Amino acid sequence: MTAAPLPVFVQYHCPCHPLVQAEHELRPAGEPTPDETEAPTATSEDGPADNEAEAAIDGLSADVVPVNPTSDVLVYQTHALCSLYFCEDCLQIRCGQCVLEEITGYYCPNCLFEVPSASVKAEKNQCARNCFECPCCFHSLTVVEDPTAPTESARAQPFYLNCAFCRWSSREIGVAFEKQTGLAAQLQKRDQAQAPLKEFDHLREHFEAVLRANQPSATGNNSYGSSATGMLGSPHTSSFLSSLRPAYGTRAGSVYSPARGSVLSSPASVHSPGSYLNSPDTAATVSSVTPSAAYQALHRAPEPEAVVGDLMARTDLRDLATREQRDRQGPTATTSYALSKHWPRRIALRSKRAKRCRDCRHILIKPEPKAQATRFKIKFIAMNFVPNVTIVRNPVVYYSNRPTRFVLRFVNPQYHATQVTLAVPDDYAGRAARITVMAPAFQVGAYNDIWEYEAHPDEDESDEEGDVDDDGNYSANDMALDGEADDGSDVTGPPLDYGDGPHLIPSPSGADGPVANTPGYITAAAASAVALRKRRQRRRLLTQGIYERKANETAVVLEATPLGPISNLIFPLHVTFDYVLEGLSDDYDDEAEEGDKVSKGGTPDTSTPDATEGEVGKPTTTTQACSFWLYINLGQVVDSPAS
Amino acid sequence: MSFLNRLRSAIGDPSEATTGPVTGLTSRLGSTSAYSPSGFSPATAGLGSSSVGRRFSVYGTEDRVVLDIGSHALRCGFSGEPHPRQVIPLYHDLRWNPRPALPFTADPQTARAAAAVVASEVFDQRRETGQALYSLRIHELDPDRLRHLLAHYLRRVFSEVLMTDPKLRKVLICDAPLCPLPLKRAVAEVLFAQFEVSALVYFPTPSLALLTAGTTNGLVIDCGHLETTVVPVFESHALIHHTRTTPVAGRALGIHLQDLLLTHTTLTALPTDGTDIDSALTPVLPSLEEVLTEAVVEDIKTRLLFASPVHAGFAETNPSADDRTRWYRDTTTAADTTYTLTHPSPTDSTSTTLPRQRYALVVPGWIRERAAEILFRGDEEQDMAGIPNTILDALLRAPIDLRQLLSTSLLIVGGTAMLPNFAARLHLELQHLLLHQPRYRSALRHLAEHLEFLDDKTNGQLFSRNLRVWVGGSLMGSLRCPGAEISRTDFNEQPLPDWTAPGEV
Repeated sequence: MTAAPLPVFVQYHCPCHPLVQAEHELRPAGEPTPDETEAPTATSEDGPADNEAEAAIDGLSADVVPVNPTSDVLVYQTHALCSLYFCEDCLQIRCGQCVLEEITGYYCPNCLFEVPSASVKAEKNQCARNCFECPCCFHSLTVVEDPTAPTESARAQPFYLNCAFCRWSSREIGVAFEKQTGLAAQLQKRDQAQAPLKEFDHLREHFEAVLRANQPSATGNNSYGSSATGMLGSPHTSSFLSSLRPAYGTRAGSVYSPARGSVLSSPASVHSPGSYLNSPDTAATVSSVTPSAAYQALHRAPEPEAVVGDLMARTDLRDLATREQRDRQGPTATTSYALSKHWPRRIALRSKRAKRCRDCRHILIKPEPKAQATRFKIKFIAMNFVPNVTIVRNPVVYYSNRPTRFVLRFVNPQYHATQVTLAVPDDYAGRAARITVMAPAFQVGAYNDIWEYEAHPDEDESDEEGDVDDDGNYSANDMALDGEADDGSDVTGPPLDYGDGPHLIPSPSGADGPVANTPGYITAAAASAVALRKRRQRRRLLTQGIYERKANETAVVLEATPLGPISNLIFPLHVTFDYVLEGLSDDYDDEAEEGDKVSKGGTPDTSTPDATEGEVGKPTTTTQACSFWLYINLGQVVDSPAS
Repeated sequence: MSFLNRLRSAIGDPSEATTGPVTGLTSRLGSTSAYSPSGFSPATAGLGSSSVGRRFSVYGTEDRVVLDIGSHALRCGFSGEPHPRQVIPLYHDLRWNPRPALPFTADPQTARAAAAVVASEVFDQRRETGQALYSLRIHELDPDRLRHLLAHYLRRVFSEVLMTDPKLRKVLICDAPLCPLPLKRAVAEVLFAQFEVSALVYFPTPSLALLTAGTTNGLVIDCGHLETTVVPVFESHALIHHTRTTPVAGRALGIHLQDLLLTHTTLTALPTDGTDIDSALTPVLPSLEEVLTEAVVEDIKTRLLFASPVHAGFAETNPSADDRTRWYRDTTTAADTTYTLTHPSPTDSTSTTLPRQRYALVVPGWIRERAAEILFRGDEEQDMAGIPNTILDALLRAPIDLRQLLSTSLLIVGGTAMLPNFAARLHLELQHLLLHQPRYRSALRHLAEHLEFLDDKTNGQLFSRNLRVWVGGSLMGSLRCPGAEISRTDFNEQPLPDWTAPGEV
């Protein structure tokens, strides 16, 4: 599929399938589901030979890629992190589709008045006070007083509505007010929308009368309206009722309910006019039920004649309402082209909604009931639990069949360090590139708002735990990566193979050559011994595929080898991280002394308290492995320039 | 002939103005008004004309949610109300807005050429598929995508517009007879699975539209976005087997208008505020294809077009396109209109990085007047019949004793029919065809002076054409007329309304 290039993104896949409960009926037989067409994923032959990586990819082999990355559906099944929730009980990401919403309160977005639900219904979900929106730009209107009106009549009504955005004023349509408050009621008196309402009621009364007149017996009256099945079961259904029932063509209505369609095949409901007229009984029925005999419209809105003449002479767009403006005007003005005839409309109310997990019915979001408060009583949003993944370094464009490195940063929002495991399936439908994960398993430090702003007092050099200040190190890093990339681009001949490309997996020896030759590296090498130490450490990290490591951030290197030109290089990435439940229950109190942070060795599957290298005084924690899929768009792939 | 008269008196031909049936009914009304069926609360009638339109009980959930889901707009609201709460346009893309972007090439000269190619490709693609909810190419409906789209819009309906709990409500669906079954099924699945509504009720749209004119007989001409359907209805039975359709409708009009604009208009740059256009670098004019997006064409279509009041009579029987254009251009009295637009569009996400420039597009008067000719004339090249021909074909196919009745009660509904002067021009075209086209003259000539539109006879445009079907659904819902309900529990056993399914005979 050739699509327009999209912006580069990292999207989170939500595992929900609330829409496909009845899918088996819809999907034509013989057409396999996308999942079935995909090959089972991923043994670790291409992955780096690492124990942890093997474990991760083995764990993945049970899964399959949930969505084909090239399909249209990807748009609807993946989400930005900020729009997701996290259910602590299911340990799953939840999206807007797999939460149940409950309205907890209504308010007006303009005056922040909390509206009781009774008046919400009566006022048609609109603010009944002084809030109006501009008929031109839909901005909210403000009440303005103008005591210096020229005429006496205008001084009697000094208040008018004014739009602060587009300068629309209600005086343009001749609307002004005596009082500053209760504008809705004042405006209501002049509301032109009464005619359709009255006519609608007239129509309804007309049909009600027809229905009543055609109730054949008292028993029919009683059963009427009580339940549909009762009505359908009644043998005395009038022809009008049955004719109102949805029925198509000659087999009147029977297809709607084959099981109970006997009523509809009664003589009165046979549609053919000939049979109507041939049977004296039904002919009489027709004359009595025919509504058009009785219906006379009370109100009438003729088609406006002036519109065509106005349109013909028109040379610009001034005062010509757009379709949206017409639609928002409601019933009467939908045919009104003249914007100057549009009236201000009351502002629609909004609601505060609580959200529940569809599976376990636990509350994920519960807002404060007060309209002014923006806080939440309960707030399980994914940003507070799930690592935030961003693309740190990405080439402008990828060339097909050329291995290119990019960097993903994982930011841990939890107050506990977490172990992140990455895996890319070996093959799947819609595969656009070979992806090599350089660091299949790594640690991301705990989030701590104090650490972020403090210099590190004692930086311990022991590899994985060390936090590196990144000042001055970007250049070295950049050079390291760019050196790789430049070097790769110089390679001619056959495309780089996966396993034995020259610089795919940076071993210390392999990385040294190009890195050391770059001038940036040499400049940095001339710096102080501290910088040298840092750099050495950085390089050691880089050999493990870790690009940089800060307080609660870890950036890792991945490598993509696009298989061919494509406008959007989207690939799925399976991420497993340790979620630390804190202080779950009192049962763990006695273990509080030994319960602690999770070590890096915590296996992904464990759900029991971990008790290695303890720090005393921490509350009880339980570690559980959570996993989700990322869909990452790296951008455009073009053909390699001819060498 | 005698039975035709009987039929007319039975139906109550308004032209006869007989008082017999009317007084008979009113006397019956008087006798029966004492009791009220259990379905209606006594308060209902009293509150009918209250100022805020309060219907039924305040906390009640008995009024139904009425949905009219078209390909181009979704109308939603509660039954018992005279107009929908909101009309949601469906033609905007959801989240990702693919823009024609510059492909990366090292050579700047080829980059420019490639950019033009990509732009036109994307353009063609958009034209092919459109941004509507679904298209007439039913085989291309991706059920997953459709369900996600529906879920997106329906969530907006329930949580933002109606602000009601869908679990407590029954949903009345205005069911177009020719609605694709996969779509119908997807709607039901999403409503049941995602929103857990308790039951669905289906009513056919032609019958609903007729209710708003206070009748149950007529020829309903539904001129929507994807197609125009003409359905004869007798006693609220849609005579589906006599339906005629044509793809000439809003979408065809939009594409036709786009073609006309692309060939007959030019773009000029307007001076931006504060800068002198001569002193500033002359901006590179974007191509018309880039500027004339679907949204712009839609805007021109809904604001500037009208149906010409003059029948296009050509000397030769089959004029060429050039002849036609020349004739249109020579005979028009409409003024040229300057349509100003900015590019990139202010709503475009990439527009912040690029300088914005205002352009003027002069839409010629003859295009404004005659673009809608395609609705009346059809398109021979694509074998699409015009709307008047389709109506007359439907009349030809209708039972012979119904033709008189149907021709005196034509009802036009649908958004495209809101084009100014549409009905008058349609009337003109119908009469012209009836008198001059041999195919219709022989059989239908006598109908020419009887052609009448139902809205002219009754309440006019009080309920605008694009909302009539919804209003009928609202009326039906408030009547508590028991339709064929499909509840959530027996959804899997019970088939959806489908006139193509083999029924018991």
